[in-house]
Amino acid sequence: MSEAGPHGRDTLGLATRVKALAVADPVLDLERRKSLLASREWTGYQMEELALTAIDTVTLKMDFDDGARHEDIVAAMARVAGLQMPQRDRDEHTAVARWVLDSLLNVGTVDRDFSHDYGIVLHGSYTTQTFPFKLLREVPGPDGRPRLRASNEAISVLVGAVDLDIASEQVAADAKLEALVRRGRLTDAHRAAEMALRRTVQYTEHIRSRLEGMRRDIRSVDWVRDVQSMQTEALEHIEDRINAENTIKDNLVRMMENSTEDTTPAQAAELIAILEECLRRHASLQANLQEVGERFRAEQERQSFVPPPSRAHVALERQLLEPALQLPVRQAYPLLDTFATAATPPHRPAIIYLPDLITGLMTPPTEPDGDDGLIIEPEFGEAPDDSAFSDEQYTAVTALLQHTDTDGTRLSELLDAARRHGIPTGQGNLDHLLALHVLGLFGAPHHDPEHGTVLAALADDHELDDARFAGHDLLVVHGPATAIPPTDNSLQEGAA
Amino acid sequence: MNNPDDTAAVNRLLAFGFQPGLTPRRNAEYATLVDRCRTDQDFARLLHAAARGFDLTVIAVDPRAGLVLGATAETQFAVSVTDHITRPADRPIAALAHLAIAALAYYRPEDLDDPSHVGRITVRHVDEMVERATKELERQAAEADTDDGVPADHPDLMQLWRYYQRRNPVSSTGDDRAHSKSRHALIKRVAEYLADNGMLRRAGKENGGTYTTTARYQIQVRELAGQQMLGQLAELGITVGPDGSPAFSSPEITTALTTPPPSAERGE
Repeated sequence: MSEAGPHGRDTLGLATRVKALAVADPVLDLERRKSLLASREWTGYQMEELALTAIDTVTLKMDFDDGARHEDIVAAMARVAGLQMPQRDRDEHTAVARWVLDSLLNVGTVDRDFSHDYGIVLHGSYTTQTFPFKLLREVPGPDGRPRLRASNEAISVLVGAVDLDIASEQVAADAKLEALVRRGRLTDAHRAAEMALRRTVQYTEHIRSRLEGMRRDIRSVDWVRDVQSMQTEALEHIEDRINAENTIKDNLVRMMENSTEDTTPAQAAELIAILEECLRRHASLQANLQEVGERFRAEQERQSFVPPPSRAHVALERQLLEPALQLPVRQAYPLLDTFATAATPPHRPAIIYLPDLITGLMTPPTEPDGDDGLIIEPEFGEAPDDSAFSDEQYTAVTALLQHTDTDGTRLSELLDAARRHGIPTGQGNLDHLLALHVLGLFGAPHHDPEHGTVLAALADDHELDDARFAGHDLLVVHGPATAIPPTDNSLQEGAA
Repeated sequence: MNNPDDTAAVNRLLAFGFQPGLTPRRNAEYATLVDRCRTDQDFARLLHAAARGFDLTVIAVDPRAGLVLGATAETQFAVSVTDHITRPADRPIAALAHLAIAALAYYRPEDLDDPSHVGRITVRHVDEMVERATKELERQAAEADTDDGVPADHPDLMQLWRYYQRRNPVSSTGDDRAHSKSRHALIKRVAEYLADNGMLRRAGKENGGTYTTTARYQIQVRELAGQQMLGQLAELGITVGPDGSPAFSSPEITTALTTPPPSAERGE
């Protein structure tokens, strides 16, 4: 137990330390539980190592605004599992990795979180409290699918510190790294470098959560007091870090060049890779920080410059949602339930009528409703438009039509000419295209303004006698515009 | 006045009012009755009386929304979250989703007033809005350095925002389907329920499901749900001005509620 002040402040830090221990429990628990998995011979695996690998990988993979994908984490853990038990096959490594990840997510519980009881002294009496926490959080990614982010608790466990000033820790990590590099102790430096990288990630998380606060509600922050000072401080800090890390990197490069031992260059190269990752993350954080002013103004516009309500109506978010969120579940639920009732139309109560009941009992249970189902968006490939006729066919038809004169040529003759071209007849062939062209000329004669001529198809009472086409045997006429008698469009020519 | 034909007409109108998907535009008889109600005082009085008999309130007779009926919790016809959410652990989240959907659909108070306003919500943005509010409360709690535990013997004393935050917005399942207990799935279920009852219209599948509001929803939220809940919060001593500033010293009350001395709890 711990002695708490009037505000529930935990003076001995017992509660804080119990919480820190509690976070380690799910990880240790894996080791305890592995032997209970009766059907599986998994006792050879070191589950804690796998769990830490998972948290580690998630921590390093998560970016300023995106999380890590499940598959990547499982793959990283399966690699470690493969090192531990090389004699087993890949499927088992993946299965072990999945089991560990599911355990870390606490799949199977409603909330998917862990909890631990601890006590504090409040108003002179000891009360037991529950501390709920998560190791890995599932958040929606840009595509709406779950991504993983490590919780602050998990990062604390991994890095081994609770409630620290992250910025100064980062300075310390870099200082340690530099000292080790200067003395040439590269093996130790490797660990220190990884520590520095984790601090970098932690610092990014820290800044991110502070910036988010600003985005949520502009009134919760003061630009001059909070945001600007944070921005300046963070930018200065990052600049220092970038300088420090660049110096270490330069030292390493020099060491690599002057080294006589065999192992040094390889180790130095690894260190440089880690440092480059640190620098990359710092650069992205810096870019984000530089946009803060712009974002603040945009948020200010969105949130503050809204005209005041014209009538005294309820501001649903501020007056209802936010106060309701602050209430304990016990009190809030009845209120929200009445809201739900009032916001839905009345319903005719379902009255049990015996024949209905029997029908109801006899009908097979309905399938789970499709709402939660996976919806696969069909992907439409780019289908090129295939032209039914080739360019040669078009040229051939134009050539045939060119031969007509003022006396006119019958469609049947043209068809014969087309078929004599030696191309087989049928759908998509020369005679078909010709018939379509002539039909087009019947409806819309082709005027040639340059020569003052008209190419048209005229219908008289000749029936077309053809194997493939039926209708009028149209007369295709090519001559001066005045020589063509007006067409009688009431007649139709049909193509088979 | 006591014409059997009038009584039949009034009850016919009530019956139309019970069909939430139906609007006067879709049914000529409904439109005639709504019109009559707006012009004929006696007819309107008869309608109110008939509704009172059912323990219902006539909120509005609107040419677009039709007859909008309101039910109180005591009414036989009232619908509760319990009716459409089976798991007790999911109910607070679903009930919150009802409020959050309305809050996003009518983000500015004047949106409630504007009959031409059509709110547009998506499952994802509803969740983001509540998440944003919980983050803010989390920050405030961290600044005030309050203990984040929950009394072990009274899990329902956990503040709602913590309860909401504990749920994952999305969760992975073995077969790539949405996890039915995740926040997104619960919000979606509430939105679908509202859509089935003629309060929302389905407008697409983007962002987990997109919906637009109907005139009926606007009237019910404005005239009944919002005001009623505002009154209930005031009964608890929580009053917040529309600008978000607490009108009275409400924070003290809320902190007192979250960590009550154990002895006081036994009495309940």
